[in-house]
Amino acid sequence: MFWRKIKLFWWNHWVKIVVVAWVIFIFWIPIAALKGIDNYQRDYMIAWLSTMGLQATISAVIFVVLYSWVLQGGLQKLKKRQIKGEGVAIHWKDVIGMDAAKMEARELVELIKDRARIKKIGGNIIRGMLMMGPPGCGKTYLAKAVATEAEIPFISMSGAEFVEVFVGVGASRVRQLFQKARRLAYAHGGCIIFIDEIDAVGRKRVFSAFGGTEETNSTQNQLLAEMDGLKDKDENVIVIGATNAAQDSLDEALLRPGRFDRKIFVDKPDLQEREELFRYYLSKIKFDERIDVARFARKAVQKSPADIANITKEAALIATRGKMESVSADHLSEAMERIDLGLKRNRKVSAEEMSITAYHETGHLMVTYLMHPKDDVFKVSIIPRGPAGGVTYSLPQEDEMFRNKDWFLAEIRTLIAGYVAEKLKFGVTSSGVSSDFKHAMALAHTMVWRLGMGKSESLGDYSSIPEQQLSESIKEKLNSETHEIIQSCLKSVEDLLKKENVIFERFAQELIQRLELDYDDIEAIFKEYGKPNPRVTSKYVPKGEK
Amino acid sequence: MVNPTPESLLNTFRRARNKAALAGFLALLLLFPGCGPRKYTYPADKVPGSIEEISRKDYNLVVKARVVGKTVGALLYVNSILDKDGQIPKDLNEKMGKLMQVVTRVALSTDLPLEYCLVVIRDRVHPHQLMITRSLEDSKRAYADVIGVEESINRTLFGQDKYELIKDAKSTFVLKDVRHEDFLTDQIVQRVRFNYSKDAKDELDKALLMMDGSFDTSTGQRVFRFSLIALKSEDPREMVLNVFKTVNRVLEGYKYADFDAVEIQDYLNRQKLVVDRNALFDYQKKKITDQEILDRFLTESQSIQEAFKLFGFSIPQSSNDNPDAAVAATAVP
Repeated sequence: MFWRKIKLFWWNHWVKIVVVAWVIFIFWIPIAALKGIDNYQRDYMIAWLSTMGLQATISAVIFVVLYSWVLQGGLQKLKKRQIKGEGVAIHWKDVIGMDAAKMEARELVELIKDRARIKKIGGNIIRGMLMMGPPGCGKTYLAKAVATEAEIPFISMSGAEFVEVFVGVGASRVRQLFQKARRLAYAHGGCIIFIDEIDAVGRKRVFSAFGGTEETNSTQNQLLAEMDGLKDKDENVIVIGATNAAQDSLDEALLRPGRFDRKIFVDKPDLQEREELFRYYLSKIKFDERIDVARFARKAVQKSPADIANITKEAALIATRGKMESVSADHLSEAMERIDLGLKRNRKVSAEEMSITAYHETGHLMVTYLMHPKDDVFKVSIIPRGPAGGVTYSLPQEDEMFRNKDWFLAEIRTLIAGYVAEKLKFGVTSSGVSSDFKHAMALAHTMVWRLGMGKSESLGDYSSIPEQQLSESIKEKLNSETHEIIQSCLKSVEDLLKKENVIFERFAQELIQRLELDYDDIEAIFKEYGKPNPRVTSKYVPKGEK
Repeated sequence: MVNPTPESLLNTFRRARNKAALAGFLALLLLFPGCGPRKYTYPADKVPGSIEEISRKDYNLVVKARVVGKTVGALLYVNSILDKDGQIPKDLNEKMGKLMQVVTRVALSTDLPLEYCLVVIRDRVHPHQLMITRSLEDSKRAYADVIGVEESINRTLFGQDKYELIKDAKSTFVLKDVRHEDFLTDQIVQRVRFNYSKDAKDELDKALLMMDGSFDTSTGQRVFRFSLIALKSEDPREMVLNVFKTVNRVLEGYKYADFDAVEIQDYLNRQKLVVDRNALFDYQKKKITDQEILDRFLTESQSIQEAFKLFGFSIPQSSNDNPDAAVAATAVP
């Protein structure tokens, strides 16, 4: 291995070595020869040589400065991106959750380290692993853990770094990258290349007559050839890719076995993982030990690890602004609201607008609480935030992979509840319903056109067929069913609000007075009227009942 | 599995600070020959011996070398310094050149504070000798191409003299230390003579200029004195001015300032130019023009009879001649 390293050193630096040796030769030998002549001439020649050297150095410096200035850093060589594992220092224990992905990564590292064992059986080493998933779920973080645990050279690149204006530059960079990786693998026994945002070079190839996609295609072709091409040598070079894009947006040639053999989906954390994440990130800051981490984990449904990290950071900032010594539960709540709902605006709201907003949000609140099968209302507010005049902050109780018809209908009812509330109370509605209608229509459309949840249960995904290929009668039927869903939801909401008018008024007045109501306030008021939470959860217990 | 970052030669060279250290080491390696105490090729006590040895080994010349004060000299005996045509033979010229080269080479590479190199060629048969005197600084300037070939020749003094010939025995080689002021004076005289002979149309014309110079400190002042008789000069004022320009060129070229005045006497035309040091410096800075020099500093001088006396001739004095109050000076022949 030592001689291999010497060989690698020679490959990487032979030009420099030859130049340095030549410089030494052309300077040292004449200088040594000068020792044989009279001291006056010797001193004269040495002074002359030094002057020439100084002149050459000044000229070289001016040239380099002008060269760099003119080119402005374009067409740069590939920057050295070798990462040292101990510099990253993220171990398996630091990766919270994503057990399946972690297991795959562990296995990959073990296989890299012990390829001899696989060779004995006659197996082939894994060539590549692709990590997919929503942003902020820990793909790059997992890659960092691989870098630390693998203890072999790790080169990190971004897919965008391969793409250049000039055709051929991207392919050249891919070649350079793999050449460097092979040399490192030769010297150290293995090498990992991590390409983040691989969809920048890995998307489905488009063969356009106008040639506008030539650069991307050539870069991708080079990547395909390097990963599993004709020059398939017995090298321990593994490629790990990460992307937010859907799998079907990537090129099939890249995804086939022999290139990215393993595909791991890194999803958002579940309830238990969120709890662990909160504990992990809170352990990095000073926090109040009395914080109910489970509660916040419950509230952080559909949040990624990056979101949770952001929440704890924001909470720390809020605590600092409030000159507190540690982060409390209130700081965490405020941080979550600030991130989810946005900053409160100090806009002066007239009494009329306040009233409209209050009744509008009350409509959402009532329907969500009494009719939604999954969501709980954590906060309702009529303080303007962002573009909205008010907000009803609801979150699902638990993570869901699938949604049924009841959920869709409940969502539509919740969305149109604001409209119904305004109409019942004031007789006219405002423009504040536009966003609600848009989402409600989209959901109803999806139910009928894509999910076969319409009245006639017309099966199939009609939205995938070009519209001109659908008959008018089918379109009319589907649209009619969509409209019918909206209307039936409208009716049921109207009935509910009329039936529970007392509670409806009570909440509206409370909102006008207090501007904001949180979960406990909402629960308390509903309980006053004998309406406990229809969704019973085992983990979460309201503050007042502890 | 091997640690991916071993403390190996590979990582040593990768780190930027070690690259800088490597560059510094290479620089030291290259500069090393220039470090340490200065070593002279020819130590002080070995200068005459080195000249004699090099002349013998490289050029097959048997010479005698001496060092006196700031002057180093070498003496070579030849059978005849003139050929049958009365000219200096070509091979003797070459020998003189080579000998001067040897003397200069040794003088440059020694720790002695030498300033002048002198080569003396003596005729064994006749009591004549040729002398070449050269300033070591001029040699350095010529070596570095600071002065051209022509200027280099102009700055070399060529002289001839008699010496005491002792039959069947070698005469003693008495070397005199060259004084810088005398060197400048002789150079000025040589330049003027050369310039005059260049312009002269024939041999007769060349002989019509007599000039001599000295550096006089007897009056308490340090004065360059030049005496000339130009039996054939078209414009006497122009003649004096040309001599003055030559004086200025030489003093300016050597940046010599340790004097009080320059005096040029034209005995034939009874005119004298006396320019003090400050006026000379102003002339060098072009604050004074040629015409102003003549108008302000050119005066009448002593009669031709006095001049001829100085040169060893006697002419009956005319009643129109007025002896002036010029300072009596001894022109050294």
